[in-house]
Amino acid sequence: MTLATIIGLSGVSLLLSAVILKLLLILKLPLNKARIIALLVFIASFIPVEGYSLSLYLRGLFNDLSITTLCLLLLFLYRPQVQHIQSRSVFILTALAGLLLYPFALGYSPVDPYAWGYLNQSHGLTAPLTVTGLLLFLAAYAFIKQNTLLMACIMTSIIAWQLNLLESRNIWDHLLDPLLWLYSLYQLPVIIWRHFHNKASSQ
Amino acid sequence: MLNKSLFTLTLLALSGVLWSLFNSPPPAEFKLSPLPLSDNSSPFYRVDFASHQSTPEVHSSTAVELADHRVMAFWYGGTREGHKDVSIYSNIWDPKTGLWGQDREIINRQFTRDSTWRYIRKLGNPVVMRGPDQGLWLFYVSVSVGGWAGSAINLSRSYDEGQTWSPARRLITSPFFNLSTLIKGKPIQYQDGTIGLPVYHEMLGKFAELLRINQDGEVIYKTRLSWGTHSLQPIVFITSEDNALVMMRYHGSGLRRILQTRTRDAGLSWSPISRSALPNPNAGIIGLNIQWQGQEALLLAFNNSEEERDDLSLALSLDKGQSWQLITTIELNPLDPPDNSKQFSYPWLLQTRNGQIHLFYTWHKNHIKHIVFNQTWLEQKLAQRKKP
Repeated sequence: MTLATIIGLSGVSLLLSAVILKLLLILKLPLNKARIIALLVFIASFIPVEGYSLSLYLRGLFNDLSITTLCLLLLFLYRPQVQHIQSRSVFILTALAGLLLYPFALGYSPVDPYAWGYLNQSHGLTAPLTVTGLLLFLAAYAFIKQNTLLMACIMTSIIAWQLNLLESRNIWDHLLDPLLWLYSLYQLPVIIWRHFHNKASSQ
Repeated sequence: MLNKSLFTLTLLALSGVLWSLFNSPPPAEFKLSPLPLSDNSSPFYRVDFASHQSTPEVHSSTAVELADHRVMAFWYGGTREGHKDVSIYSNIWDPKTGLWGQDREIINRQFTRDSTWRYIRKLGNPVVMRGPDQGLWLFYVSVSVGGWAGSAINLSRSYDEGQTWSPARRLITSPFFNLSTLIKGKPIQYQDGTIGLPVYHEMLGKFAELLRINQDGEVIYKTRLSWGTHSLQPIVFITSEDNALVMMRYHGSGLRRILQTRTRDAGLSWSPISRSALPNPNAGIIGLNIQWQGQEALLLAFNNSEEERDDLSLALSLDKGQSWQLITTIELNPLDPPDNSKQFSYPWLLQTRNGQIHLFYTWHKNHIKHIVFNQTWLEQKLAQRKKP
C-alpha cells in the first residue's frame, strides 16, 4: 500500500467521521462523547466485510479528497465548535475555482483549464507559469489579509504535489475537489448573508 | 510570526515548483514505429475465433505480438455487458500451428479492488500495447458507481509476456470525482518515451482527449481532441513526426459520418472537427499504418453503414486520410428488423513483424473473431473491387 493510498483512504474516512461528529453535535451530544463515537466510526470504516470496507466504497465513490479538504476536516475535528472565520475566503475561492474547472471538465468547451494544472513543459510554459503565478498571488493575498488558514491550505497543497502525496500529478486535485466545491457553493449564501448582517449590525 | 513563516515556506515551495517545471521535458514529437515489410507471398486469409465461449458474452478485443511471434488477444467477457462477473480474458495464437490456446481470465473485479484500493462494480474495455520499457501495458476500464459514464482507467503491466500482471494503478484523468474516462483506440508513443492514450468521456458531454502518460504510468498532461456531446472512441494515425490524423465515432444526429481532426505540431493543437466521407453507425473503429506498394498507407476497419453494425469493412488511404477507397467487406449480414446481438463491432487491427495483418472484432457479441491475412490478399481484393 502506497502513501497516496493511505492518504486517500484516510481522507474519505475523516470526511465520514466529521459528518458523524457534526450530526452528533447538532443532536446536542456532549463533545467528548461525540468525539469518541466519531473516532470509532473512523476506525470501523477500515474494517473489511467480505473484502469491502466503508472507506473502500467511499473512495470508489468520491475518489481522493484534496489537501485543502483534508486541512479543513482536520481543523473541524480539532475544534468542531469554533466558527472559523478564515475559512470563508477558502470557500469563496473554491467556489470560483470550481466554476472555472468543473463545467469545462465535462466537455462544454474546447478549453480545459484542468490541463493547465500539470505544471510541466510538455505543452509549453505559458499555462504552468500562469498557474504558478496565480498560486503566488493567492499566497500573497493570504499573507496581506493575515489569513493563516488560506496560506496553510495553499502551502500544504503545493508541498503535497511536490512529494506525490496524492495519486494525481495535477495541482488542481490538491487544491480542491468537487465535494469541497459543492460545500463551498452551499456556504456562499451563508457567507453573503453574514457579511451584510454584520454590516447592518455595526451601523 | 506564524504567517511570516507560512508565507516563507509557500515561497520556497513555489520555487520548488518552478525548478521542477524548468527541469521537465519540453514538448516532444511523435515516435514513428518502423513498419513491417509487406508480406508479398501468395494470398493468405484465415478465419477463426480467439475466444472459446468461456462466458456467454464477449466484447471489445485488443491484441499485441509477443516476443516469440505469438499473438496475445484480450477482451472482456461475462454473463452480459456491465455484469458483476465480467473479467478481462486473454488467449494466445501460435503462428506455427495456426491455433488458439485456452481462454484465460487475467483480471477481475477483486484484483482491481485489491490493487487500486477502491470499490469496483464492473469492468470494461481493455487496450494493450508494447510499452516504452518493452513490457506489455494493459489499460482497462472499471466502474465504481453508475453506468459507463462512471468509468475510470486502470493500468496493469506484464514483464513476462503476459504470464503475470502487476497490481493495477488508477489513472487520474478528470477533476470531477475522476469519473467518465474510457478507452478503445490504440496508444501512440512520443520520442521522449511518453505515451499518448486516446480516451473519451461519456458523462453529460461526449468528447475525446489524448492523455500523455509517463514511463511510471502517471498522467502528465491531456489535450482535448474534441468537445461537446457527439464524439467518442478516437483513434490516432501518426503520419509524420509532427502530423497526425484522429478519427472518431460519431454519436449524434444528422449525417452519420466518422469525425476527424488533425494536428501539425505533434499534438499541441488540433484542427476543428470535420466529417469524413466514411459512414458511421455510432460504432467503434480502428486503424493501422501499413506499407502499401512501397509507400505509407492507412488501413481502417469500420462499420460501413450509417444505421447498423451489420457490415464490417476495410478501407485504404494513400494520401494520409484525405480520401479512402473501400478494399473489401469482411462481414455483411443485414438483418430486418435489426438485431443488436448479431452485430460485428469494435474492431482491432495488428500487424505482426512478418507483415501479416490480424483483424479482431466482436462477432454476434458471443465470440471474438480473428482474421489473419497478408497484403497480397488485400491487393487481390482491391483489384477485384476495381474490376468493372
